[in-house]
Amino acid sequence: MKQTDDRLPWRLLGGVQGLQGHAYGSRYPSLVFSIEGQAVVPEQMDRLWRMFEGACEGIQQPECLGRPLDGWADAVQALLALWQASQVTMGLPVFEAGRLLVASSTQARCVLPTLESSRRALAAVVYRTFEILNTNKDDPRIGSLPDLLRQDLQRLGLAGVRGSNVPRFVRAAFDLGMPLTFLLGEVVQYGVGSRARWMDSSFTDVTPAVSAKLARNKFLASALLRQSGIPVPSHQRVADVPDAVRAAGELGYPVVVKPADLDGGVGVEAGLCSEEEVRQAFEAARQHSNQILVEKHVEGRDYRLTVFQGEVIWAIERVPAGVTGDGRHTVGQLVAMVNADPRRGTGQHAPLKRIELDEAAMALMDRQGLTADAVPEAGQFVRLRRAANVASGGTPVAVFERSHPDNARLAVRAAEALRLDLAGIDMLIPDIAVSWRESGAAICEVNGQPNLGQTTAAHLYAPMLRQLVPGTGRIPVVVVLGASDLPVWLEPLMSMLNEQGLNVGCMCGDQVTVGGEVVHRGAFTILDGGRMLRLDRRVDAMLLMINDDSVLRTGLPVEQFDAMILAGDALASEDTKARTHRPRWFEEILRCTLPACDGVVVFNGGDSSRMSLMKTLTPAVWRDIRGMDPSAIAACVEAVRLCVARRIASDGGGSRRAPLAASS
Amino acid sequence: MMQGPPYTASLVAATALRGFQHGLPQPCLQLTLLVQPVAQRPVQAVGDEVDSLLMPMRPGVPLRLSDELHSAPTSQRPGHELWSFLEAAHELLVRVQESAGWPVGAGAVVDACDPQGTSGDGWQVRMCLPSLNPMKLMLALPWFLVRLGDRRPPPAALAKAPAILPDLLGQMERAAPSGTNTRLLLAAAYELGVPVRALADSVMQYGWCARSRWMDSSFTDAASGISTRLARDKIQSSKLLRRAGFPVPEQVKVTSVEEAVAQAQRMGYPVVIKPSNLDGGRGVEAGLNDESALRKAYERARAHSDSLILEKHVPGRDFRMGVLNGVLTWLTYREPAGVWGDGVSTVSELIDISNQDPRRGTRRWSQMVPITINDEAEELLAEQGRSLDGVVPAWTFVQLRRAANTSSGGKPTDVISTVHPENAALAVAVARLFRLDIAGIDFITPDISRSWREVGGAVCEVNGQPQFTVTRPDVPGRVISELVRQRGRVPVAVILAPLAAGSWYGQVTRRLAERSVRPGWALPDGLCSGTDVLSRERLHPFDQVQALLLDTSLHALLVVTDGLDWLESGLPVDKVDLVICDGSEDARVARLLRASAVANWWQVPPEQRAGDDGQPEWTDRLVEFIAERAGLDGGCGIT
Repeated sequence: MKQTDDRLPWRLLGGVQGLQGHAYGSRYPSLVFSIEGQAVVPEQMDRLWRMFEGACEGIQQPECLGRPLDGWADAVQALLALWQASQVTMGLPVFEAGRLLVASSTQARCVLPTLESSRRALAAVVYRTFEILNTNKDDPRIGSLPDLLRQDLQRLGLAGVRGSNVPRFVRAAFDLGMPLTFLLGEVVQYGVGSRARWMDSSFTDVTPAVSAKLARNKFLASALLRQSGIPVPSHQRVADVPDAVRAAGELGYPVVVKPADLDGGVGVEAGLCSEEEVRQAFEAARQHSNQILVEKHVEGRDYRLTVFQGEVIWAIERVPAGVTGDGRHTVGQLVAMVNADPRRGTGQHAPLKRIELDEAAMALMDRQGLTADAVPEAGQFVRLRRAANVASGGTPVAVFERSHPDNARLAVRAAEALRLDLAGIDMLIPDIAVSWRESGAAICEVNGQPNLGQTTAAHLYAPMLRQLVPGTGRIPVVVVLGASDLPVWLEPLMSMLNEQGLNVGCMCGDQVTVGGEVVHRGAFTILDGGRMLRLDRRVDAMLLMINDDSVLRTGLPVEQFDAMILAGDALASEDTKARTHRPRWFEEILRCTLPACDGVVVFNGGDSSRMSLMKTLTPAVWRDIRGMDPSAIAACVEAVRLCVARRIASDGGGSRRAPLAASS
Repeated sequence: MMQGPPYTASLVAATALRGFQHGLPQPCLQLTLLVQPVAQRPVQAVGDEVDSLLMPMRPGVPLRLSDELHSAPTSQRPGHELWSFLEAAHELLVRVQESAGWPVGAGAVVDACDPQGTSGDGWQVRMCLPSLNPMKLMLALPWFLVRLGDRRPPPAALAKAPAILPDLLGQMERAAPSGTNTRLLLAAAYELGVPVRALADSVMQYGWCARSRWMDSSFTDAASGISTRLARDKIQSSKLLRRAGFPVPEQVKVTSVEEAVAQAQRMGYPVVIKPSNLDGGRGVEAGLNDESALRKAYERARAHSDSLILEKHVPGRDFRMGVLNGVLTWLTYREPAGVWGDGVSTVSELIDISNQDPRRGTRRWSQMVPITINDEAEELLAEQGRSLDGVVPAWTFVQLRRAANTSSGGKPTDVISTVHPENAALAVAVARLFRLDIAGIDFITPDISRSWREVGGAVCEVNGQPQFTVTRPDVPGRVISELVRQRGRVPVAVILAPLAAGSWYGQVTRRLAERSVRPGWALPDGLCSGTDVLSRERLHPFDQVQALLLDTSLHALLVVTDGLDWLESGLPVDKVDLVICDGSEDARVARLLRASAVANWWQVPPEQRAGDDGQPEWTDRLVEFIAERAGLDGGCGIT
């Protein structure tokens, strides 16, 4: 490989290690690697940034890339920031920056958080970055690098999680310090053991499959709402165009045509006033679904009320796509001005969608006596879409504070009628501030998996998680490190935890047990054993007895824990060579695990200089029990007990289980 | 069948009611027939179609006389011969419904039998037939009337109804709730006296108000969408099981036959190939011993799904473990389709003998599927060195399918009494992991009576919507009784106006609230859930009560009405606990209510009617009555 000058090439020392568990205080799985290189010249970094910018649409430039770099370590920091930014831009809910663990003048050891599923894809991006840095600008291969980088980043994006609600809930959970487990697909577990709850996008683990099924079918849902005494627009299921026209005639114009089994406003046309419009709308809707409804159009504004656990937690008005005249600009110019809003995009994840001046818009303008070149009067609202949902260019406006309590109650009743714990209720009503009992209203849709949105509802995710998950979702976790003394600790710690009324999940030797029952027997890693406990709804507290060095290869099964007992440094290593270097890798285990301990670390004397170094790694309190006699052990157990009690108290007392019969 | 006395019947009137009568558990079809004696028994055009096409009459749904008629003088009751004729007619309508997959909740009630004609030997009989769908049951009338010897053309409204039985069954089957589970649960609910209401095709509400639960086939409303989707996806559920420490077979997704062959080479034969996204054993091919078997099986499985997985075949027997609310409730050993030799019969003959088992059949009500010969069976025969016309030695099993599902001819045997506790604990833990209250777990182990930790075993599949097994017919009933407490009922009181005048019901609501009971009110001028006014419109009192029955916040129903609307619709509930009246009520309404076996009937003097400000004495008794009944079982299932 040709070098730009006599600088050292960037290279990895010993490859990238992908940890599935948590290490070095990271709350995500991570890549851990050592790199060697030299401070980069600004031009080199600039080229790198331009390539990322080109390959990763919408990436925000990390702050440290915009200024001159201050030496080697700073350059590594800049790279870590760049990798983090590409993950976020590709839709990965990774909200923790990479860190330097150790740095010398030419070498550095780093930890880069990512998802379990994206470790490989992110490692490829890391390798590609070095390739770009090491490739001379005259090298013929340089031309192919942008494309290769783009492919790497696309693979990274595919390795993430889909669904627009997921990253928002994950962000909120991360900010709350809540443990996260990316289970499968879009299913994320928030919290651990008995405090764990599952969500799939905005479905919770108590959203019944039956309710979701009923809500998805607009025909059935509407029938059920009507039977429950809730006002709904009258509608008919229609088979073909003549049938649709007949139904529209019976119901009386204006009418709405919509698919019965689709969400998100797909194929919905409202305010249809003629046979011709019904015919067109039917054919358009037919492209999306075989089950078409013709519904009486209810006059009123379009509101979406979000109901969670029997309360309205948010309400927006959905103002349909349109522009307000200023007496000077044409409709076309006004649309361009609205679309200039950076939030309006074309992508799936854009918070608002662009307004399109298409056939449907033209038809509406025509009815209002306007064209794209006409100049509407100041204050005149020119409606450009019949439907008001965000997907067709509508704008959400928060109206939560203005909602009349009767209307909120009606929305709650609609959610209850379908037995949904979380639901988006679409209400048509002249004014949300006036009771529906006076003005009339209709519930036109109940959405069982509502997209909560980001534009006005960004603040909702954290309170919802807090309401769903007890405390921060953490349970007390005690780690005992060191093989020789394990039996000495197991018994007193276990009885102390049991005395607290906690059902203990324990990992010790070749067994994983919960409340004394063997869950798994045979060889397993610390990570695998701990994950079994994370997933077990009976587990109120965890006791992890670690007696080998596998944690260095897997990471810990928990993000954070409450107490660590350094029971000795006689860990067994599978690697016989390592045994002769015991002090070094024991230290490495401590480096890897201690940052995650935020309660107490109990130790028995030892080399004080080494200990003082370790103390800087953790926010925990250190207690030297000086000896292994029964009173010292009792003192230690007491220190752990206080920590456990604090965890339980700070996390809102005992566990609050979901009302699931299976959990009892 | 139809060997009864020589009578003929013709239709006078048929009315499908929305509601209930005579305390019957389903809405009724009211059928008024003119029955006349004939000299000769009508000749049946279609010989024994009834016995060949319809399932046998189920005991436990006999025709009976209404209580009123029962205590009437003998002259007003049908005589023995007429009664036999009516029973035979009733049997036809019960059998046709059950054969079409409509569970019948109870036998019909004859509530009128009046002499007709100048000679006085004809009778006009009214029969109330409980039915899942009284409106659709009208379809059966033309066929029914022909069977009864009515030669006239059917009424114009029924001109399009099928005249022959196979067509009729076909049409009725389309209106039946889909899925065997739903039908078994419905039958169990009728048996237990739990009220049922259909919300959508297979979605049923069992019970009322706060005690009501929803089920969709064997999903309860406690089965979350997350759990059910996880369970349905075999790749995802296997990953989750492995992660949680359960034994699962090694598994890999394959996208081509070459990839499957290569992977099978790596993991070693025998292997299983199956679709990742289908239930009920569709496309599952187990025990593939070599590449050629794998290649053939791959192509067959491919026809079922685009998403296939290859799995290491776990040696052992195939068990289905059923968990209900954290308890292992049923456990069957599933023998794959096949025959046991007797030393004289050939494979073909043995198949014919097996298929004579009355439980095997292709009708809706068949509990097991007949054994058939297909490519897979021929392949297996070849592997076992047998042929269709070869004699099988005694005590030798000839396997004809690789998978053991009932749907491919497998035979389940109840083995729950032999299960080792650690295997039972495994099943319960798997259901808990998936957060499912009902789960079917497919488990392979050599011996279910020994711990899987000792002899090995693997969880092959988790089913969130398991089929109830034919070996344990009590399971649907257990599901229903675990799901709903107090038979799903809340106390229902009907107060016949004009007692309703006044604001006393607000006070009753408050006093009940003090006892933690939230009543729903159906009032002449509105609908209330507790103190919450749902509607101030004048709604039909039938719809009012139907709306309140869906409301899970309610622990009791109080209906204030003159009841006249119910004369046409039928009652909105099958059973009423209390009627309060003052003697001014309509006699027909009183008769309708009395016929529903109302247990408590309070007649209050007219001067005790509520005034605008007054609170009559009987409201104390009412509060007491409702609170006591709603409070049974620790406060009405309030959670």
